[in-house]
Amino acid sequence: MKLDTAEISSIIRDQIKGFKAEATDANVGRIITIGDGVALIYGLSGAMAGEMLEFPGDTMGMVLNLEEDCVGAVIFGEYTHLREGDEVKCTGRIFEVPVGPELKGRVVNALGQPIDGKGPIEAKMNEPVEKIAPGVIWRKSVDQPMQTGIKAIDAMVPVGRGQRELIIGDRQTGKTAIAIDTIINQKDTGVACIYVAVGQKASTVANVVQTLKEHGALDHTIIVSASASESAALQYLAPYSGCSMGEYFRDRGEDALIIYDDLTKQAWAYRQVSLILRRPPGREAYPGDVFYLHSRLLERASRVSEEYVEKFTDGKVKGKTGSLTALPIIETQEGDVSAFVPTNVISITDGQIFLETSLFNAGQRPAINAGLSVSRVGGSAQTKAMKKVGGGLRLDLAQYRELAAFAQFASDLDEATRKQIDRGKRGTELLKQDENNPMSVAQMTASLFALNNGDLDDIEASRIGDFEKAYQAYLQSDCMELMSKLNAEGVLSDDVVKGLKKAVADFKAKGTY
Amino acid sequence: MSTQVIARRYARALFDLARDGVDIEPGLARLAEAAAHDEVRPYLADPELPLDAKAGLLIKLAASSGKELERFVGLLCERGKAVLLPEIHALFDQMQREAADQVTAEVVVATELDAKKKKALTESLGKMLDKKVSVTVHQDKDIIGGMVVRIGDRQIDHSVRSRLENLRRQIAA
Repeated sequence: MKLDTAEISSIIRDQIKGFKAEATDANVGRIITIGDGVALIYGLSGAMAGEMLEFPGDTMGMVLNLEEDCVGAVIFGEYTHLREGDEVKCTGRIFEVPVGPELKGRVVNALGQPIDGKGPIEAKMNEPVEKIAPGVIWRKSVDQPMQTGIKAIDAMVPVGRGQRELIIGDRQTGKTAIAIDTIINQKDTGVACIYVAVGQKASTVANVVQTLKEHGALDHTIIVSASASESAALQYLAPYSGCSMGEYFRDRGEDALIIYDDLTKQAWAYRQVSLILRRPPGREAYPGDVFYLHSRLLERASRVSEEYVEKFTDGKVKGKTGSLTALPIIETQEGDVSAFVPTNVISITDGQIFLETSLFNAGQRPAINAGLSVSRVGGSAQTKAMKKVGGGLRLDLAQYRELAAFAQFASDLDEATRKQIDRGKRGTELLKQDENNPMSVAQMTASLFALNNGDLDDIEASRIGDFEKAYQAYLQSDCMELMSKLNAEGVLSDDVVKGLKKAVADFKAKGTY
Repeated sequence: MSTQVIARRYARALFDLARDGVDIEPGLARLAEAAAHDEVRPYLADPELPLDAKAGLLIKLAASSGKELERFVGLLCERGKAVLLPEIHALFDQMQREAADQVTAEVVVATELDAKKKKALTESLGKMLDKKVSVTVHQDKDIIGGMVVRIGDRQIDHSVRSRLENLRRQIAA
């Protein structure tokens, strides 16, 4: 591209012409001490809690502590150029990030600035990062499903729109994989997704972006990244930034899904900032308000009523509810769920998906522990078909595990017990699912229906995976009508039951697997 | 910095006494001057020396400071805070000026300010803040032109330097 110097100078001329040289009237202070991303500032008598501060060299910060003579503030980004005695100005603004549909498909940092090299984001609005969650009267109970596309979850621990479902497990148990599958499964559903990466390797985030791009799921996703190399202040802030971006959709009668990956690292970052700000440490050296840190964040994930949306949009959007579903992730150490942060987040959320290393290593992937995983509100949001086929599954699997442990000592078992063990073994096999391969409601229903109906009883447990793959392929090619009907209605009507029975019989008669 | 919180409490107590009609100001100024003296300061800071000797010295140096202040000095020495006297005096002074609706404005200019302009500035600042303003003028070539007025934490910046900086930002954005 050839640069036209005349054009450039005319632009600059216009800018200079339009430039208003007004005196600035600001509240100022001076840095007393600075280090570890936290500054103590003398003065700033008019500062507000959470206000943005302007440091020399276009550096920004945020007020966290208000004391008698001084203000404690965190600095966003690089701070090595700042010196004792430097001037700091109040901006009069509470910390904000850009929000809106323009952010979809982009990767931004905790401040909402693009970091994907695709140029500036033309967002029309900014919203404060810290907002109070909608009150009691504006809420609506969760009754629509948020399909994750993972059989084990949608059948046993269903998630509803507006629910907060915790994904908890040790490192390397497939926590992020579940989150990514869920995002991929939201393709063409109109659900906006936000993936907040806190304290992760930049390479991991790049992988996530690549995976989403490959599966065509990046276009409906906003990625907020505060990687491990970024300051603790940004890592602490990123979930709130992401939440504000998600609330934009919720408040306008749309559905959104937000994933916080992971809140353990956010708590670590907050602990660091708090200790440097000399706030008193409590259990595990976390500050006293670490519960509130997560509760105020997760309370913002909610389902809001038609009235709320109508009031919020000044009547432009009518008769639509909005929701923000949250899937926070917590990483445990050696399966210790009784540590401080895991217990806090378990108590805040509406259920948890518990992942286990032993299951993962035994090849059971996703490594969901059916006994410890629960969903407190998702049941009322489950599609009727899934409820029917998945209803007894959790109990069956729990009983199977108990019997299997017991059966190890028994040489011969009675018929009923042996049957139960066989069914359980096949059920566990059927719940295995490949990564990045979410299934539709019809596909999941068909598979689980075959299990419930006893069609898998005569198939060797080790062949279940192959059988399912071939059966699904057969359904896609030969029973399109039945599948689309099931997907659209989500009900196991007599017709559908008949169709499914016929399909599995036909497949077994002539299909190969 | 950390001592300021402590000094402010003592200054507040003295200020309340002064409002009740006790004569504090001249005595406190003498005490502060004495405590700030280069030879007295290490003596006060030395923890090995007896407390009443320190108090005695200060009272002697600041002759006829009044019985309230003598007791105050005794109290300060007992608590090992005698070194804070200059700071307490400064804060006390500030409180008195605030109570009397007086403020000090620090004005930074690039070129010298003549008496006429200074008077006009004092008057306009007084009108703006609705207080009695005393102006101290500094010269700083770095601001290039215009002026910067500081009143406490408030800073009114109308310098050429900040205007150029704003222009740079606007063009860069």
